[in-house]
Amino acid sequence: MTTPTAVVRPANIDQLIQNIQREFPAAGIRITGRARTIRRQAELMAQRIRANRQEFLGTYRAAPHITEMDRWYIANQTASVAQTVSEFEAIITRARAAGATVSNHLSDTARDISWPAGNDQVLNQIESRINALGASVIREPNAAGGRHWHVDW
Amino acid sequence: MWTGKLNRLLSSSRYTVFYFLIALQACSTDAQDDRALASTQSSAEQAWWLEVEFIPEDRALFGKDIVSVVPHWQAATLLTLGLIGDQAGQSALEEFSHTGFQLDVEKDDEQYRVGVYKNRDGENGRFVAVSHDGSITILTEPGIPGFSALLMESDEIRWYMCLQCGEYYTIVKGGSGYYLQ
Repeated sequence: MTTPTAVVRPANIDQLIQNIQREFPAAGIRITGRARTIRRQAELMAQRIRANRQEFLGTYRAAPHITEMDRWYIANQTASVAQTVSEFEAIITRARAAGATVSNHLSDTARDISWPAGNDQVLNQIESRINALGASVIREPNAAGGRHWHVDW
Repeated sequence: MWTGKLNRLLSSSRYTVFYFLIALQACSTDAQDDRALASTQSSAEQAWWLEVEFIPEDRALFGKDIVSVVPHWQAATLLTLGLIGDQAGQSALEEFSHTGFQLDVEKDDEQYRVGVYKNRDGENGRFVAVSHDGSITILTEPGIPGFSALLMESDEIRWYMCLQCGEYYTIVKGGSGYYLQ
């Protein structure tokens, strides 16, 4: 195991993970997944409301950003799909900035990584290093899709 | 979203009547950046399921000409274990086989199958086809014609583009048909 030294903030999440892979080669870390982007979430919600507005309102829990989407849609029913998606993306971005949880693990800068190999001490060292580089870790030992770590930068 | 309904096909004792209900997802400019993102990530090791790509090459789907299933599609291919082994290697196939994921799920009277497609604009992506009571709904994830799989969890069908990850779609049946959530 390479002893981590300098704390230089990586340029992006992928560089962060590459650093971790280099510093902890025995952990066998791979990027295993990516979070849903805000844009993709906007696309799904835009499609939903355009297909069936009542169903959209019944699907998503009542919240200010849902009301805002609904009001915009009612006022702009001739808008194109692309226009709707762009507007919904902006609404989601503002809502998240205000602290709203639009969807779990919604992020443009998050990655899932394989559960690192090693004992508890090694895992704690890796998590501490990820934190030092500016990201947060959620360990998901019981995820239905397979255990992994969620890293958000 | 585009929804189309084909004319009803006459049945005989030798053929099954199909009603095709087709739903297309909005094109994802974000998903179209998948390859650019992948190239950025090439320096950080990724799992095989994030890198493997399949070739949409079949002109028929579910025994029908592809155009009659999805008019805007040029070709599509359903994923199989053999394809995963061929494209990602035997170790990848073995790794997949040890998970609870499936490429083909049956639940009640519904059948779910995953695959990849290419449309007439040359755009690729992944899809899940839901077959129920003679009708077929196609749900798509534009972008790389890559890996995807299904998982039954707590009586719901989940569509994943990865293993050992937390991001997935739930396939929901609503009044207006099936959709991704």
